[in-house]
Amino acid sequence: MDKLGISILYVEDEDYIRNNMAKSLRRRVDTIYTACNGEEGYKIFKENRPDLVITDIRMPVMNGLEMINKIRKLRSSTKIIMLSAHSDTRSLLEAIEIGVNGYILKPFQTKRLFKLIDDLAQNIILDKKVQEQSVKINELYNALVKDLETAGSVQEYLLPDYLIIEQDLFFTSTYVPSSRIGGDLYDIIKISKSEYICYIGDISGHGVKAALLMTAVKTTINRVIEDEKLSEPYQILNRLSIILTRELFSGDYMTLLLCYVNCEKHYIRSLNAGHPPILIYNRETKAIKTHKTEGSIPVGWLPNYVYTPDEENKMDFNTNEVLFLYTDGLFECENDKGDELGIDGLKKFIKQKAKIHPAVVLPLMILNTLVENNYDISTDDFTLVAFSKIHDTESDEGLTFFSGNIKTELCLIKQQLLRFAGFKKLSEGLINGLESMSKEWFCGLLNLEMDVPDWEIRYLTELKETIDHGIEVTLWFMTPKSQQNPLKANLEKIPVIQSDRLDISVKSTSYTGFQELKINISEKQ
Amino acid sequence: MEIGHRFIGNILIINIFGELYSEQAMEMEYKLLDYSTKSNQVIINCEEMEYVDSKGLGVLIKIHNLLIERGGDMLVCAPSGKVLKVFELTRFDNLIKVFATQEEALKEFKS
Repeated sequence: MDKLGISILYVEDEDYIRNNMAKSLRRRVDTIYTACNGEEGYKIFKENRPDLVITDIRMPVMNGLEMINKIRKLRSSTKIIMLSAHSDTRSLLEAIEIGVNGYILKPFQTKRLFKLIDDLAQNIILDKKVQEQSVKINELYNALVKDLETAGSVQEYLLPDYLIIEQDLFFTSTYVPSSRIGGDLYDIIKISKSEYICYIGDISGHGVKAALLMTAVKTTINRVIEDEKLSEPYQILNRLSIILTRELFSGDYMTLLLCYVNCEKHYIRSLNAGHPPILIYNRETKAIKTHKTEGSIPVGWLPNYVYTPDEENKMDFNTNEVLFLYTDGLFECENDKGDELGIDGLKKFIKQKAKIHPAVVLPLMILNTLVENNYDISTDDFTLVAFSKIHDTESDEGLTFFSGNIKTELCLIKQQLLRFAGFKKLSEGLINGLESMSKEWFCGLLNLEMDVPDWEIRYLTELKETIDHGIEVTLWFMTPKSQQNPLKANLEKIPVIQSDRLDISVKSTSYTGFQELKINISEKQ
Repeated sequence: MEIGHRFIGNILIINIFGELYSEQAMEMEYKLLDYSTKSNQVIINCEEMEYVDSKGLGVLIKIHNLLIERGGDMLVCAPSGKVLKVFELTRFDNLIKVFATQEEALKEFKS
């Protein structure tokens, strides 16, 4: 007869009974432990964690019930059989209360006990299998999560940084995949000194398949534009349609909005293949409108579909305009009351935030605002892109972009401040105060010690004149996605800045994707 | 999501009820492919359809392309709310004829 693959602890104070029973049990079960009282039994249980405990109730030192209570605290699922005399009804009631798995009255036939052990052994073995399986499932799940995280990092690497600054154009974006990986894609590709291709796409479906397709499609788009030198939107879409339907898509498709941007000649030619429309915000009039075009069908709907120049749209690209591209995950997100944001809701948020913040931080600002307003952005991939020409007078108005070594570049803010104060004809006292600052002043402000590595970091500064004719400096730091943000820790420990001539206050705020630092400088009264 | 079907003459009418997400898209594809073997002329009635996501839309396109290949056609009728919005955004009606009512779609097939 095969032995049962379980372990049993048998506790009995009478030596004769214990030894005989242990002998019988050894013939049927793999591992047997014995103990002569509750205390010894508990000690053995703690050390060996047997699957089943068979115990007498009345024993010296520690009785069976006390021992069972202690054992159940260690492992509540332990299976227990109690053996007791006929007269001990009180113990029987207590045992029922504890929830023992079997109760046998003495004297008993060994056959009955063995039948009970056999029944419980089946449960124990089944439980063990379930536990082993769940450990395996957990291991597989953790491995899968790790793989997805790696895939997510690869995807993020393929997508552009939060902010791309070219000589005459900036391209800023925010992207949150619904499940570590996503099917959204977007990019800016420079094709000549003042010509760019900006695009956004959304692969149908979700999960690993959409994510893998996204990676392949993105590479294909870049190859078609960079290697085959195609710049007409309809040509690019036709080439993509052929490659993707032949080699990649099987029942899949992609909505795509592709813009050819000519900054020198101030126009954009776009082709919208089933994608949500462009939103255009005018920084001068503070108005926002939807750019509705005829467009065409998504890539992959019809294998032999030919996109034509007639399906393209040509529009002026004015300096004051900021163009927003986005995917459906953005306007389909709902708040905690179940209200969908909608395109109109998105326009409202853009308008609201664009009045306060420069366009370059708007995608990240809007993401933060939606989260603050309890919109659930986790149900679909979330992408928002904004691009605009860089204003000729932007630096006079106080908005500048820096990219490079933070320690050396940041010290240039002093020059920028002086230029701005002169341009705005601010008071001599304030200008003198600014003059007296040492070059290291701003580095000190950020707590940048000499041993801090030379981070390559992108940041923006915006200078504004305040009501009391001081200056409000806002700095936004955007760390490249590939780097950790070492600034975060520094900005959270802002030192007190002292100046004889100036009143200075500093406030730091952390947002998803960037850090904001606001410094107010005014002349001491 | 539930799917019902019936015939009016030789024309197969398929009614889709509720929300159609990626998770049910395969089930719908299987059913639609099965139904569409019975007729080359199919009308998808979206009157009771509350939502369709990109995967669901892909299934409709697939069935349409299949019917066209077989010399038939697929028309869509009565979309509203979120479904209509998705159709408009994706230029669905550039590829598939969409009608306001089932009667109009039937008329199109009979003409």
